Amino acid sequence: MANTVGCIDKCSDQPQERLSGIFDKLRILSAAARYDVSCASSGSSRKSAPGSLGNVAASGICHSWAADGRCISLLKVLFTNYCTYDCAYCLNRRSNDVERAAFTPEELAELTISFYRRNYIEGLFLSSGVLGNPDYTMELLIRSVRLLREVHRFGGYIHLKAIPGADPALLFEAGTLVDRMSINLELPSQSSLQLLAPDKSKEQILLPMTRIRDWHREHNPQQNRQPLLTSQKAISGPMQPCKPAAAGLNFVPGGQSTQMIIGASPEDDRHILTLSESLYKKMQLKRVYYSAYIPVNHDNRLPEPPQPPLLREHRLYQADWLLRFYRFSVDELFENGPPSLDTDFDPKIMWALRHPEVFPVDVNRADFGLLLRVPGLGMISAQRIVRARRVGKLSYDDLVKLGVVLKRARFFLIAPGSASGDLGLDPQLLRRRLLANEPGVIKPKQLSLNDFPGFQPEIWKEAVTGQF
Amino acid sequence: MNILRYDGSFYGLICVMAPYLKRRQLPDGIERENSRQPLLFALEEEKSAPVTDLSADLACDPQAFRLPGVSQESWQNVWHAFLSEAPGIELAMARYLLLAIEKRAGIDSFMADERVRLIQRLARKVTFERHRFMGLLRFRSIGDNLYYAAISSDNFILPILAPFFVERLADQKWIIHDRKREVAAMYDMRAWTIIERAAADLPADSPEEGATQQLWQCFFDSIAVRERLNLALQQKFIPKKYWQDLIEKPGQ
Repeated sequence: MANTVGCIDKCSDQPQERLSGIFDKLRILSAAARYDVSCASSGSSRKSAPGSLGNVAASGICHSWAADGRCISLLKVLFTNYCTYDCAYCLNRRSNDVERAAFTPEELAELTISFYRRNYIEGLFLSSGVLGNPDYTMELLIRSVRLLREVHRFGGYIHLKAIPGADPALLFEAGTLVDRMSINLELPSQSSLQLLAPDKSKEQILLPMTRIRDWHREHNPQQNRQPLLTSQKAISGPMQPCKPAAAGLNFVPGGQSTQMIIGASPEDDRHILTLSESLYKKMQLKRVYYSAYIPVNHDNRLPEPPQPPLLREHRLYQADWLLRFYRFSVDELFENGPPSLDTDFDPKIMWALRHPEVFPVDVNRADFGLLLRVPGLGMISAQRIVRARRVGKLSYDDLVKLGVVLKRARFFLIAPGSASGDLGLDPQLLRRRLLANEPGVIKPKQLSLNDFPGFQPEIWKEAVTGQF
Repeated sequence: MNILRYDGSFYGLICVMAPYLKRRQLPDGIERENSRQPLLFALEEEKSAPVTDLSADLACDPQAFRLPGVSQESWQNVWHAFLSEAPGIELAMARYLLLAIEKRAGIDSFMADERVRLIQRLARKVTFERHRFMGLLRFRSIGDNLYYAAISSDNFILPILAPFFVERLADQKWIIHDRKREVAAMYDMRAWTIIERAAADLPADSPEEGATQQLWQCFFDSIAVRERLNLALQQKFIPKKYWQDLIEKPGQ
């Protein structure tokens, strides 16, 4: 691939033979994993076992940011990019002629540890192409993870991709070793899946997802609080699925997540978000990731957009947040409107413009849930408002002091001293006023006399000097 | 004029401040011992007037910390704000604590009050930078199971950053060196301490260090999606001032 050239320069010219091997593997297998979106190290929390390496911070920690502006938290690699599947959108599909490589479990564990000890990473994100068959691949992944946990006594974060079609017993065993598991949904509908990923089926993806959810429920009575490394001796033999929870046994304390590709298939935003909503509710997923489709293969089944649909991806993430944290439902968001998200405004403004009857919201009276619905007010601002108004009435100036960003919110709030009501909440007018706020639309500048039509410099001179 | 002097530590500061706060008074000024910049209006002869010197009664009463009305949250805020080392932080802390004593109730809800706002803002700044360095700090191997990291943080975050690594990297020895303040935190697998006047020269790397660093750079480069290149966003997350101590090279 042409776009790994920069890396080849850095990774070549290694003196030792053994090293150059691992360099190539890392280069190939991290480049192959880069289209996996998830990099979160959150959702789980674990104290380190006394005197051993690694813990998990509940908030997640970003260790660096790559040139595309995305956070690097985990060592994100494929175990191997050999693959027996032939999914249309995938770089590593069987029919592609790309450099192939595979780690050994030992190499991978050592690499993870040496990065972790230098605080480069929060842990490991391990995915893989399907090598031979799903079970064999899953076994290799488990061996790598087990090595980390039991030999290196590694207590950091591990995110493991479950291989669709692998044996449930293997899936369970993997889940007891890692913090989070995910199975990629890949595409937002069964028909697209059939067309673009003929080797995968909806059942093959949803069934293990359901299993993981049930095991997770069963084995995490008090979520997230137990140390993963409890006993010194290694657990031997394969684990039996659905056994009653053993002491200290923890099944994916960080829950599961999934990912789907946006823009490779014809589904609209409403369809996608409805799917996410049901995944959050029924599958109890922690996150759904959206990945703007980037054409890496030429395939007549696939569209070839000139630019990846990054704005659409961004809007979907914003709407996703509204679902998870702001108590919105998909039906509410798209009520009396088209099934796609507004490109000019974030989904909350989109909703607000369709519901002028809710606004303006009284800062001193509205309940927390309503405050959350005000465009421009985030979780933290809403919390601060609720807390601060307990000890005194809040004025508009107080809001500024609380650190509330009023650029958008001021149109939707009333507080003593605010200038609201001057224009009312006519959606058309508001739309224009909000747009004027956006950077790049109208840039304010210092007026100059030259800007006036019919301006004559001589007259200006006369006016200044007083000579006629 | 009542000008208090303290030894530069948080503990020392609270000790000299507490008697005033308990009497609901504000001192006119608080300054560090051997502070380079004397207070502007403190004339020489006035300085000899009531100056409370900590070294006079070093054995400060732990009861000093029991100020009625100051909640745990408020203590945490003044502690974090203190680490910002902002000029005049001592008096700002005194005002904040005095307000807490007068109000007798969680003053952190009074977020629009200037005294509270200042302390909370500084505290947030400090904890934010600490969180940043939990990620951006880079250790290099300088010996057998011995690691070294250099930081130059805006705030004095070592005292609250080190415990994080004590928990996380418990089975290796490490040094975190604050190059700006020439202070280092050292951990020897049993306990950690802060050492003042730490030398500024970089220790030599162990032999395998170079290869690991190159592996990291290689990963850093190849994980970026070229079609989505966004260096401005990258720089927003890692401001340039932190680049010098990183292993990877942002901005390429």
